[in-house]
Amino acid sequence: MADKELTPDEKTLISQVLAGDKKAFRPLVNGYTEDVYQYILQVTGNADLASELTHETFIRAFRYLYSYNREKPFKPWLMRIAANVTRSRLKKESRKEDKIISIRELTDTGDWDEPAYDPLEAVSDALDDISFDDMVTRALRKLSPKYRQALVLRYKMKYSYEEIAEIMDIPLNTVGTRLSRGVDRVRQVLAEEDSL
Amino acid sequence: MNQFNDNLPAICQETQAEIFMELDQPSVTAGIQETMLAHLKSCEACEQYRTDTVRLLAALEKTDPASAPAALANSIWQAIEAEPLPLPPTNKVLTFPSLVELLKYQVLMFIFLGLLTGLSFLGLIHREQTMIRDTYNERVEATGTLGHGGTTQEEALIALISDVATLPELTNRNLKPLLHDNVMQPFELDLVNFDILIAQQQFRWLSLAFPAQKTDLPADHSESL
Repeated sequence: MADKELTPDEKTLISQVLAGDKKAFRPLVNGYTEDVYQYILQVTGNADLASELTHETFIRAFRYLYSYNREKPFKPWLMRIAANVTRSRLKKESRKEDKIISIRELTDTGDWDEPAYDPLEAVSDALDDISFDDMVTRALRKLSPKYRQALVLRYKMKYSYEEIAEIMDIPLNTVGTRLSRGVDRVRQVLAEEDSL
Repeated sequence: MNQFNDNLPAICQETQAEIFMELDQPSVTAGIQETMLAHLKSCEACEQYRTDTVRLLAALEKTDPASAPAALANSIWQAIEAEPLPLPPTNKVLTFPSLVELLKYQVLMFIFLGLLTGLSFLGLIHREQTMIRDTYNERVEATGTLGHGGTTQEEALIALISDVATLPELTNRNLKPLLHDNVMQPFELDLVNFDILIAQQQFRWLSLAFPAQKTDLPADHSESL
């Protein structure tokens, strides 16, 4: 996904919004909702959460439009907000999960109700497991957000190293390291599950 | 170099890094170097790495076909309509008048702190002097004399100064005013003599404080006064 420079239209639209014409923001929402949603969906794997965080991304972009440097492309700035919103949500979720696990560990007396065996679900799970692509997607979601975001931006959204550096606010050299380590971690997860 | 390859021989680590770069950015790299290419042909681990990476990157590139819900852009727009207009950042740049204002307050603050420190210092000196004078007066009252047994006025003065100098609270700073009030004025000493007395007394203290240098110090000339 080659990134567009800020078109004269976009520049005008942003100037209009800052001059008080709120409606000028609408074409930007229409133009970038799909990209932002796709990115968040690929990182979180949850459609509802992706919708919610896409909302949040645009609201923040609108609120902080004054801090946007109009000499730079708009899309990486917007995607950077999306990346930050997603990363903080994932952190929050992971803390919540840790708490639930620790409560379960504390209260686990051996009488915990295990879910009943469902043959249909088992068959469905087995079918899911057939696809190597699905396994990779699952492995991707087990990575820490910093690797997951880099891999999604590079391989699913087709951003360049420079754009990833800009969006993730990391040095250019770090992008390559994140990608190669990210791929290695996917490989490690798959190896642990014996899928590679 | 990735952390999972840390146990591999250096040539494998280098080759695998080259393979990754070649697969990830074929347009940027100039191809795998010859030495590594030769290694790749003979190394099973590196060959396996290349096969796995090709497969992994292909799988990673597959995107989720689900697109954004049709109503999403609309609902985002509705939420933005309810938002107030974006406001310019509130942290103002420091302008020249406000800088002057700031400096003015800083200068006032320094003056205030200076006055406070000066007053505290004066208060401290006054308190110390009063304490020493009280102690000396108590001693005079207790002994009924000035605390010396000299026969001449000079001897009496020297003894008096020595007596004052033994007070534990005495410091150089408050010695002079104390002697001025208690010795110089009552005995109507002139200023020159008074300074000589002080200087001699200070030599004496030095010899007490630094016994090793005692021999270098001049003899006690108090008798000559």
